[in-house]
Amino acid sequence: MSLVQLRDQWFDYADVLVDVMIGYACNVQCDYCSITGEMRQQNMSTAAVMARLADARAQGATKASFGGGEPTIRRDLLPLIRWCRDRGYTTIKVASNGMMYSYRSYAEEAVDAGINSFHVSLMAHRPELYAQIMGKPEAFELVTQGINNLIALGQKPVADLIIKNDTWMHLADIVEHWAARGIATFNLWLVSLSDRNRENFASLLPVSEMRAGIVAAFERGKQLGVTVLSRHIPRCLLAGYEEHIADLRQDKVLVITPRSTFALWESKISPNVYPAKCSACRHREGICLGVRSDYVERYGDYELQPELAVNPGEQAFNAA
Amino acid sequence: MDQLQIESIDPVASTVTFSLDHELYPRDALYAAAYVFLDRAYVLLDRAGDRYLVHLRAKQALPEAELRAFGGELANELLAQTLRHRVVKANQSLIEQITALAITGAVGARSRAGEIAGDTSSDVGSSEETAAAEFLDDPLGLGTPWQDKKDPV
Repeated sequence: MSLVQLRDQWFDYADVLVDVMIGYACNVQCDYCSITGEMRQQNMSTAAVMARLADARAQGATKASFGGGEPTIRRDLLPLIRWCRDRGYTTIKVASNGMMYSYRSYAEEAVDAGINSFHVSLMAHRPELYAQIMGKPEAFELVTQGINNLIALGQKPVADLIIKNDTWMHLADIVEHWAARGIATFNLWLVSLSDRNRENFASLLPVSEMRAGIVAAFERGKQLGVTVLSRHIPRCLLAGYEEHIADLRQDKVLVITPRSTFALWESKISPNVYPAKCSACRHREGICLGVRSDYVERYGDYELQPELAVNPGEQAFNAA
Repeated sequence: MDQLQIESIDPVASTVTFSLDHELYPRDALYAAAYVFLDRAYVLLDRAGDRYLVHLRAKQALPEAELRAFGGELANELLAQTLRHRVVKANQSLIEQITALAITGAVGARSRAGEIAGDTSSDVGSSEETAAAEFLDDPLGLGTPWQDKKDPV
């Protein structure tokens, strides 16, 4: 058994998802994307991807993931998937915008190669909004066909939804729309003000202003029997819906990019900052990962509602 | 101080300890050089200040001359392993490229030559690896990076 250190904790390699950002090239340019033109030129060579994955496998890793950019436009993706499968990786995830799966033959080859965890970014539930966000008029139709193909092939795609200025009010309807097409798990991610999107302040509203749409998605998910989880928002901003908050650390993701390697929750677009207001919160360094640095930079900590630690003596006094 | 010197020698116990400058040889070369003694001696590696220590205890009783001869053999092996280390490092990208091409043939019947290939001279791949036009029927051009459509070469 080999151990790997993710930030300040050690994990068995067998439990870790080795998430390789094979490159930042993409076939669309979404209006909130944080990838800069310079980053888009950064694409790992096939041999470098293989070397990292071979090393991880030799140390016991069995879970691999490919992200980007848009990994499905890499012509070496499916050979790499087959290579991973034949080498002993049992979980192989690909995070995609889903458009390439609209080709039935590609979806079939992807499944045949060994992808068994399809994560698809779903922008909206209407063609107009989809086109507005992705900048591609036919995007909604293509992604719908892609999801249909994956479902028909027996897959269970997981949806990644982005919470931003023009989606938060539609989240419940987006969940309902795609649940009706067979999606059973939805992850909600908060748009980030980083890199290319750094100055796009309009894209990120205070969570307190978007909370109604977020909790509506949770409620709609419950009604429909699907899972809806938030992965970027601190628990105090979603009080009453703590069961819908996912802890990024539980995924045990080791991220490998063309330039660096780090634990997912160390990323600058992950929540890992505790503003001063959190200093007395009993969840600090515990079940709460904190807030994203770009969010704090933009909005400060006025919305946060720390749960103060209870002194044992005070607790006993109150109980009496 | 000598680069490789005998720190102690005890023919009765068949032990000899060598020390060497820690900056002269890569640590991996030291491990590899010490490894060749495993069939004849028990080996312990240690460090004292800026010198590595190599303790050898012969598995069979040996005269002092043979224990001293271990030093010459260790020095030669350190040189050989250091050179080998350098050659591997210099040819790393070539080795990776050949390995990648070899694995291409083993990834499955659907694979075609060139699917796993590309510039292996660095961790950053060539634009060829992100090009989609040749690898599937793509009538809608979905596999083409958006910037290539925007700024066609």
